[in-house]
Amino acid sequence: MKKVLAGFALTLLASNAALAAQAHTNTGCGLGTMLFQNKADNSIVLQVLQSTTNGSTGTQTFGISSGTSDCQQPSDIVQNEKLNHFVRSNMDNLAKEIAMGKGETLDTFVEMLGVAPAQSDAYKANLQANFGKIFTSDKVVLAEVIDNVVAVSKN
Amino acid sequence: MTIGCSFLGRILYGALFPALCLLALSAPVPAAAADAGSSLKKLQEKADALDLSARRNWQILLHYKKTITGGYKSRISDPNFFLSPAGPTDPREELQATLAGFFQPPGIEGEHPICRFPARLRWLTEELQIDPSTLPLPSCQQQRKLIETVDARSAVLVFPVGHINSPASMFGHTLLRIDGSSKSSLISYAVNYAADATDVNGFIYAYKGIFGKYKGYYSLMPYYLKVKEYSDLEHRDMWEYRLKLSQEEVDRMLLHTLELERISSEYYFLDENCSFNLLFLIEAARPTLQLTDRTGTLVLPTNTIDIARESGILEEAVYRPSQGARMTQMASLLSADEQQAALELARGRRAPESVREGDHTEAARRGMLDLAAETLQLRYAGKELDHDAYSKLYLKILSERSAYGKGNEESYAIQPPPPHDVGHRATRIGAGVGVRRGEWYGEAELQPGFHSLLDPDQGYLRGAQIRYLDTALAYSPGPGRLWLKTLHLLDIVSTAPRDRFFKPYSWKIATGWDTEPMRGGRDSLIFRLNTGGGFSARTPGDGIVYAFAELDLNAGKRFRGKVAAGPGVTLGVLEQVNDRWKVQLQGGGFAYLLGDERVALKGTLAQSFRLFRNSSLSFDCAFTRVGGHGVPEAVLLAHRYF
Repeated sequence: MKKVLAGFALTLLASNAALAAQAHTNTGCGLGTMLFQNKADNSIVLQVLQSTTNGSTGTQTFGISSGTSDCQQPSDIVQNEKLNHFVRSNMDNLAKEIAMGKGETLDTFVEMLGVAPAQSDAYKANLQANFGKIFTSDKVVLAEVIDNVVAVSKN
Repeated sequence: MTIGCSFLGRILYGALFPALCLLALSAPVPAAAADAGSSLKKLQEKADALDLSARRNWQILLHYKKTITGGYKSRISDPNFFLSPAGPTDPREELQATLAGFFQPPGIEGEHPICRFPARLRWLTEELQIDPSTLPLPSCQQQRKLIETVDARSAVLVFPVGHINSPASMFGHTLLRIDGSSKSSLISYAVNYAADATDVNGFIYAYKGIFGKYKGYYSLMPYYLKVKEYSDLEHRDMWEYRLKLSQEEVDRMLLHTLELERISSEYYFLDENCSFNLLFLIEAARPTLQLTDRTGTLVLPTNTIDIARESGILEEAVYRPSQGARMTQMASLLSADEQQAALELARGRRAPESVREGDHTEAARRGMLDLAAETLQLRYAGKELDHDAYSKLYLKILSERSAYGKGNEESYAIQPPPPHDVGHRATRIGAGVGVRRGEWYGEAELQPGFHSLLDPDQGYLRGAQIRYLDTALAYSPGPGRLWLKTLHLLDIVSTAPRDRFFKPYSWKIATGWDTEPMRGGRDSLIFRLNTGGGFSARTPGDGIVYAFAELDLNAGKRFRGKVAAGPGVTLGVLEQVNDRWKVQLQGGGFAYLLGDERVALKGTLAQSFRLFRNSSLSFDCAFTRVGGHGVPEAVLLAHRYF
């Protein structure tokens, strides 16, 4: 009986892992997925207790550029993990600011792309004018966003 | 004695390591080992002769504090932080062991003491004029990459203020930001110290936190993650104070930060907390500053800013408004109808193209779409709609918005509110006179922290109160009686005004001892636990009007059955009449249905006058009616904050 249970547990684990691996691809690489990253817990009890403390989990890291390996990578641009991570983490604000034609997230993005300050305004205006070509659907992921930006900038 | 140090950061991490790595491949090991042995011995003797372990620099790098018996103890207990088992209490042993550690043969990548303790290496190299060519040659690749990526040029002390609807987090937080050569600070790196706390049970959390059962860790992450955490999706404005540090001092700060990677220290919520531990990094940058020994038993983020301000290293504060503040500014530029339209856009009840219709200015069309996009983000954050619905609607709104140009860049600029620095200090004392039922008394009060509804608001959250251990003692000269008037363990009130876009609840909780009239008319000291929830709104004069439904539990020896408990209602209005004068009018009624049954009514008119940054006057009038007995009272107090 024990062996059967153990075998069952193993099968479960294996299939879970397979599912997880599948689901992992490109999840968290699009709009709305990283909006809550690092958001503090909002229950009142915890807030009362966290008052001076800022207790939180997963805090030991010196993660200077971790984590877009589970996303499809952009093709048209030199691999830049820092840029990828920035776009992934700030996708919603970046979309908003490209549509608005202004904002700190957009300024940062344009600076990271290496656009000269003198060209920055024209560059941002071009991104705004091509919003629909960059954010092609609500399922768009970071690799596509970066590739699309590069594509509309070439025109 | 010391070498000019500016060469070090560059040389050690630029030229030295790669050069030495190449050399390592061909170094004859036995000869090097013998050389190393004699160099080490000389250095150790020299360190003793110079008494380096007694120097402040060393004590800062090891986080030593003096004990009552005159010895030393490090505030860090993690054995990985020390190279000698005696290290936590013996600065000399640790220094000797550190020197010995530097001469260890290179082992696992990144694990060599030269890689793990770059700030110690740098300081000892300066003080002992260590010849780098005598040291072993670990590659420290990861660290070099990190230093290159961070590209430290300057440092900023960052203070995210509390949450508007959670006065409990009104203490805020502090972190450091290390800026590189980028123009944008979002891609700078944040140095944060936080407890690694996974418990969700509040009582376990509180117990472990207060008694140091949690481990605290330093972490380094992109600053945009911290901005997202505090400024976006939460109503937490951030203040950024650039530190007046030289390049060399910033280098030292980063090197010491690297030494603390994965090193745990006991996290004490009240004193050795996030804010306190950042002070070590500032001291490591400039060891002549004395910051960590100037803190008291309770360290608030604002204390650390005061301490840093007084030591002269803070530049003027730069304001980073929260998403809530930005939305309020956007809404202020729109008419009521346009605000309503933005709300309906964000709720998907109106098509984004509809902004083209009607009689709106171009700026208003932009404004409605901008405000709708922000509101939609908040709705999604509040789980009011699912991911698919959110991203579809979000893109539709943005797509329409992209057709309207960028508009006036300045229109969304927000006038910064007064920074914390101009606000009153957190501890308040007061003295004055009162009269209760025609009997005069003198009163002395102490409010150890933090801010009451009537204290001057400059630099604090309006409508939020958090007080702990506030105590009032009175002396009645008539009967010659000294009596405890109140002692509140905790007293929190959060009045968060609701408007079209934000629908927060207001709440309060208070517990402690109060002097109350009994049904016979005599006063008695009772223990109280009171809590309630309700709503608030802005008044036309930009004050706050509020209503709470409450539950009041009382216990005292003069109650029949020792207890009284029942529901009640409190209504009030808080108005800032002018820059200095604040008025609060409040009325409440309680029906004690359990225990000592009775009805109690209370009305108060409280006023405060701000005299200077750290002094104020208050004048409170109250009338309480219990069981047919009326008790009038008036108190005039002068307050001083320090």
